[in-house]
Amino acid sequence: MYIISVENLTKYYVQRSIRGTKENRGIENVSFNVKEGEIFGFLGPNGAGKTTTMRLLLDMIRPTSGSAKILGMDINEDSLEIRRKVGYIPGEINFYNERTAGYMLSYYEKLQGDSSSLKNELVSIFNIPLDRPVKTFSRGMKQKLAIIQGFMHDPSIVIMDEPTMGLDPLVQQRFYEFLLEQKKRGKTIFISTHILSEAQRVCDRVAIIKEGNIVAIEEVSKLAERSGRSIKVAFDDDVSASDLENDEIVSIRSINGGFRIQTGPSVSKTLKIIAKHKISDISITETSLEDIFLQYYEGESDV
Amino acid sequence: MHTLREKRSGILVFALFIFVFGIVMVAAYDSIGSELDMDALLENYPDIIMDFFGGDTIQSFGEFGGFYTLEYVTWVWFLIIPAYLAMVCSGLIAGEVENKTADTLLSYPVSRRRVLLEKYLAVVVMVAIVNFMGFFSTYVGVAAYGIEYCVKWVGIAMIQATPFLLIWTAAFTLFSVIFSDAKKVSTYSIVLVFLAYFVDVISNIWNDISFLGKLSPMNYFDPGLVMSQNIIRWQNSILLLATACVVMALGIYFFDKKDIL
Repeated sequence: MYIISVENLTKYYVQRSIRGTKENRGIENVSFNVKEGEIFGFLGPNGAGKTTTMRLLLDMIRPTSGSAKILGMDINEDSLEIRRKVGYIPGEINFYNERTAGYMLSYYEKLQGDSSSLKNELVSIFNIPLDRPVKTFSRGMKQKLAIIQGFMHDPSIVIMDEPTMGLDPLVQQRFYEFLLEQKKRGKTIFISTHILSEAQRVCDRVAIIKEGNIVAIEEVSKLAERSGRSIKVAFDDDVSASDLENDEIVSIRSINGGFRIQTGPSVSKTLKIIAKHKISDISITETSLEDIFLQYYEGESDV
Repeated sequence: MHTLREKRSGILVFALFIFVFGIVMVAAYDSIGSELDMDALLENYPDIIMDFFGGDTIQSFGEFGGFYTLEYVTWVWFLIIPAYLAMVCSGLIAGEVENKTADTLLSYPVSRRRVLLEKYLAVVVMVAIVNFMGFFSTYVGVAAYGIEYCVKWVGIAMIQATPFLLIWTAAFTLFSVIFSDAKKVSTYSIVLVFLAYFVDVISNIWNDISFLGKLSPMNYFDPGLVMSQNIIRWQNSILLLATACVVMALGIYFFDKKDIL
């Protein structure tokens, strides 16, 4: 059963000024499904449309066209009922700064209208001083408070927009463990991120979005297969892309007089071929999310 | 409740200002107003000046009701309180959107209509507090200085002030929904108050444009008529109240359609 199903969802932001009306792309024909009990990642760089999609699902903005359902309910028609069952952690969170963390959580409890069964557990996991005004909190502390409010009423679905922003590595680890535990408890989680390692760590499947369009929906295990090495190399002698070709290479592009080679997990053959030439500069790094995007957009056709 | 709690200290300070200003004006009448022949003094002023200060319906400036309308109620209820409400209302929706607190608020199972109405009701409570303070300061002042005046008329003027302030509150709330910039909302709101006051004064002076005055809420709230001439026009209050409801309905409509960016 699909918990979230999105079909051709499109959003253009209309900007009106005295010069006329301008439409800015938010997302275009976005379609995907999230299964019950899975952690579904939404990967993409800033401005790709991740936040737009999430805000559409929460009925904060209205679609230009297309539709989406959560738990079989229409995101616009049944928005109130959906929000009763969904937890949300916004990407850019803010609180009433003069108020204490404890006041904010009580305020959200009242808005939710029922008791927050996980509140105490979450407060102890994320170690938040409830008696301190939010204005004294660091970015990371505010993010922890956001996580608590998103989960405290024990929703069956949680939508999170880059929830680890501002968290220190230790808290990030604790958060990942918490997410996996929530998954075991049967929760469905829809998480946006631009950190590939985060998606690899917690997600079952991911959708990759770029410039408002979904370019791939894959299981993370398959994405990891693509996550090989990125080799940047420049030569003193005359080398063409075809000289370097071998079955390890996923894509190869000419950049700044050298090459950017995308390989699978193995690089030995490629390095042997490279070593036959006169190398002026070389660097080998793990494939970044950006590299994977390039593979999806242009890399594959470059080989 | 949250909005009221947020504005608690501000409203207390403002209510105290209303109270103290009221007492000071009663004291001023006691020491100056009753000794000077105010009517003779003000007769020398051109009509435009008298209209500007809301003196067109005041029977006598020498008696307390006329003096108090001119020196206190006109200034405070026509300009100062609406300007204060403009600043309060600017943050109701625009402030929440600007500070990104609306994101979390609207992710909970509360309808936009409920959010807007609850915030509006919080301001209605503030309006009730300032109007009560206006009456209370007069009651205390008149009793303390032993002035012969039936404060019932101030009470009625304050009741009539409620729909007058509610229409402003509704208009500012509508601005707060339309513009997602709290500073812009408060600026536009304050400009609107002064414009409406100016239109009301000008339309009283030049008969050719008297129709314009009908657009101004000031035309439907005349404290001088109540406090000086003891004439009550409830139909104007009902008209203001009905208009406030229409403006609020517009606010709900636009808020429902709005993209929270």
